[in-house]
Amino acid sequence: MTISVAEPIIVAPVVPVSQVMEAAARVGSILMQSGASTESSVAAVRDMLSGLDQAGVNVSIGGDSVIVSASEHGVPITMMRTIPSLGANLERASMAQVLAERVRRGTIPDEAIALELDAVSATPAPYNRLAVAVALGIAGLAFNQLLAGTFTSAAVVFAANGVAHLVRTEFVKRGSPAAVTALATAVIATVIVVVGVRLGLAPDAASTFIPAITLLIPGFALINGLLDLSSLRYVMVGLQRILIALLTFLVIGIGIATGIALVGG
Amino acid sequence: MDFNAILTNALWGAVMAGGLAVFFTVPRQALWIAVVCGAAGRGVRSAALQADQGLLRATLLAALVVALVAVVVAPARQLSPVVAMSALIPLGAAIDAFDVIWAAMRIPGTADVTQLAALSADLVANTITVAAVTLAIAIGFLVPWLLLRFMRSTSK
Repeated sequence: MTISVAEPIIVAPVVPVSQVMEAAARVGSILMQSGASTESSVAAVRDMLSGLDQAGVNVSIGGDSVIVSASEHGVPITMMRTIPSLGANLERASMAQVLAERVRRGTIPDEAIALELDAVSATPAPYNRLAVAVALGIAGLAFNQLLAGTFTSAAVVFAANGVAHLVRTEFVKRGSPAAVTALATAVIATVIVVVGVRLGLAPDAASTFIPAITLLIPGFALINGLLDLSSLRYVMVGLQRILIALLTFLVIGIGIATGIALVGG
Repeated sequence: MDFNAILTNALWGAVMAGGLAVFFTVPRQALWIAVVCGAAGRGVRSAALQADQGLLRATLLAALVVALVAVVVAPARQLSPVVAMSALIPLGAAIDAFDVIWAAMRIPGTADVTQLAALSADLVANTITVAAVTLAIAIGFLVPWLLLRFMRSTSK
């Protein structure tokens, strides 16, 4: 007599809703911290949730937190992840968005998602501070050339942007408030430009001053803030971003005035 | 059309976008995307300005081109189009932004009413220009990205 044994049915382990929510909230928080707009951050969170068959989970992103809520076995759960600061790290933003897309397509095992998120969070800065200072100097130099500056004025802008960045990183390392950092950076950039103009290196003050100062303006905050406002869905986050940009404008203005006063008019 | 001016604009736009890409920690393998987008953005903006399209339309067109290049090139290399965002900064109304700061600095020390009125008018006009140009950049970058998302969702 032969006994037929049925093929064993292997059931893939179901990821608990709370783990899915945690992963989605982490993606949202990383994206918001890294310079993505709120619209694209919410879209990435929804990608994650739909890839993990949890499209019914609610997502809400505010200026300082990502809130995800759902119910597990009839018990309502709400999870919150804070957004410590709204900065710009496009490598992390790109990695987080690509991860969300992979989850949506189902090309990543569920158990590997948390590890991948750890890897995204722990990604070191790809460039050292000196390389970034030189790169910012080059960006300022190019901007000066776009404004038809002379090559000596381009050198002044290069120095102003490079040194200002080194000062900024020093302030950030010491944990200074953002406003103090912006003020110090604007003062340093202004002093270098004014000295350059005084020495006759920059005959056209405008093409020297503008690239040295405007690279301090938080462009991403303005762009993302206006995107959030125009979507009419993330008005509060948009207002927060625009307010930060406007306050930075004000601080830069005070920095310029201080710098000019320091070097004597 | 002055092609020399367009090429010069594209060249310096590329250099500026590349420098800013390092500042915004764009991954090494994506730096060239930022450079190409920077060249395309400033080049298109310069050409559109020469064709009398006005600053707003020229900027909107340039941001659209930057986003289109990013949306086509980046996903094929396992990157998000967000890596091209540094190419948007050279499209901003930097001179007007500087004028806003400059006017805001001078207003508190101005006693003369006529001068104060002129400075206030400058401040308001430049603020509106900065806001409008930034919005044009934001919308220009958003539209191709939304199209990409729409195409992905319909292809699933």
